[in-house]
Amino acid sequence: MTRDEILERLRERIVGFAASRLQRDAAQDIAQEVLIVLHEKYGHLDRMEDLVPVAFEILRFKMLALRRKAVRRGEYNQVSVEDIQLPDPGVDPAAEAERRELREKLIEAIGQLGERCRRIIALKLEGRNFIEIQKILGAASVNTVYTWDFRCRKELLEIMGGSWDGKR
Amino acid sequence: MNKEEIQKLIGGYATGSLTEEERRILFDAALDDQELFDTLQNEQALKELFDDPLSREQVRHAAAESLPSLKRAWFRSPWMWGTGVSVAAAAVLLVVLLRPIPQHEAAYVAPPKQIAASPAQPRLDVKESAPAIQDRKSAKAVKPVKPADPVDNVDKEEPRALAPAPSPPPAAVPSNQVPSGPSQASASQSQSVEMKDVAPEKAPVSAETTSSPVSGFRAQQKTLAAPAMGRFASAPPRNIYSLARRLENGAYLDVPVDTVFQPGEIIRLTVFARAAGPLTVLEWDADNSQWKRVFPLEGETVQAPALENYVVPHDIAVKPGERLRVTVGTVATEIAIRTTTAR
Repeated sequence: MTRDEILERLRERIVGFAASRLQRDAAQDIAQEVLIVLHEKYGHLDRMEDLVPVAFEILRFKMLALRRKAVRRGEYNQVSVEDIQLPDPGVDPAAEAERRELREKLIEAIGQLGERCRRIIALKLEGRNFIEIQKILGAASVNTVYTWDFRCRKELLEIMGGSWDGKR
Repeated sequence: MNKEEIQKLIGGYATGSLTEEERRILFDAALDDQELFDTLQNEQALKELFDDPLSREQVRHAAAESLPSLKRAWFRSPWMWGTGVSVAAAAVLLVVLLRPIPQHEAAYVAPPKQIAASPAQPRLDVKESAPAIQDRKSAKAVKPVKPADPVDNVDKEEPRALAPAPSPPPAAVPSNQVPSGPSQASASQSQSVEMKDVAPEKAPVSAETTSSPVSGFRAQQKTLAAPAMGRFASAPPRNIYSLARRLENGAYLDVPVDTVFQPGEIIRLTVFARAAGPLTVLEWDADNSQWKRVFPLEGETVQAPALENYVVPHDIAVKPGERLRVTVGTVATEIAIRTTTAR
């Protein structure tokens, strides 16, 4: 698959994703912006395994930026001009706060999982792949581990309220 | 992979647990499947969290906290394997120690013994006459050697199954006779190989030098040292010297040190010294009852390397009752070459 073919399919998926959260025109704009970044900053990537995760990341940033932009514009909350804070060029405190919040929620949710799920999560975060986890846990096959992990993720997501960051 | 199976890979995306192949399959499917694409996009928040090492460690710690230690199958336990190997090794050692000692048909070759001082003239194991012959099985621990009498320092515990060697072939020679040294060598008997590590002639008598029956040169394990290995657990694994027989075509063939040679045969000596030092090879001159230097020549010095084989570049023509004395540094070894009846 060529880079152009990958980008074409990516565009279609991005528009589909954004359209479920934004207006159709905005979704088209988002997709366009993601592709521009991919073109300008990641022109050296031509493998699907490299392009797709980068596209996910860019898309997330674009979506967050769009949401914050809307907040600043007062589309959701009208605030007086005196209350609007100047942007800090350092670490984004909002992103940091979101991350901290997600981490705490996640830790709390993981505590409610069963032993096997917690062990799988711990092993994954240690950097183990599924084949290694299969050997460690003594599973009959790697498909068994896939299934265990799928169920654990589903259970964890339910405890978390259906989404990782609560921004569905 | 079908769609259901591919969806099960999603859990590995955020944690980076997917192999290259799994990632390729997952992303390829996501480009065709909007639902899968959306799911992966939603995983991005989790991925960002886990991309932060601090957060990742905190979550991992929370997940691993209070987890009981993983139960392993007994055969997966490293300690079980270690125990098994140890038991097997002990069993092998036990078999080696307790196996019956084969009686040497021709003659028994005693392991080398380091003694305190070298006698002016090599003394033979005449004490080891027939009544003194013991069964190897009855041999007990090695007794310390008395430094006062070098002859007594010879390992008396090593039985000397001795026999006349009526004729070749050299490999199997019946034996009932006491070994004799150079001055008592009988032309009608095969000569046993005897080895005595001796201190240099000028070395002072010292109990220290005689206390270790395993110091100095050591005979070849298969033929000599195997019965003794249990007792000499600290013995070096390698031979201290070895012999090679010159064939008709001029090549040399390594042979066991207890090989029975015919007088006139040419042999080559290889020395494996535990400590480097000047090497000297002396040969017993029975006619003049004295040691004669055969290597290196008078005035020359040759260093034997430590823990390496050194082939003595001087061939030795075997004589009846052939005896050699090899000195490396301060450690000397007497080697008695077994020979068949003189012709």
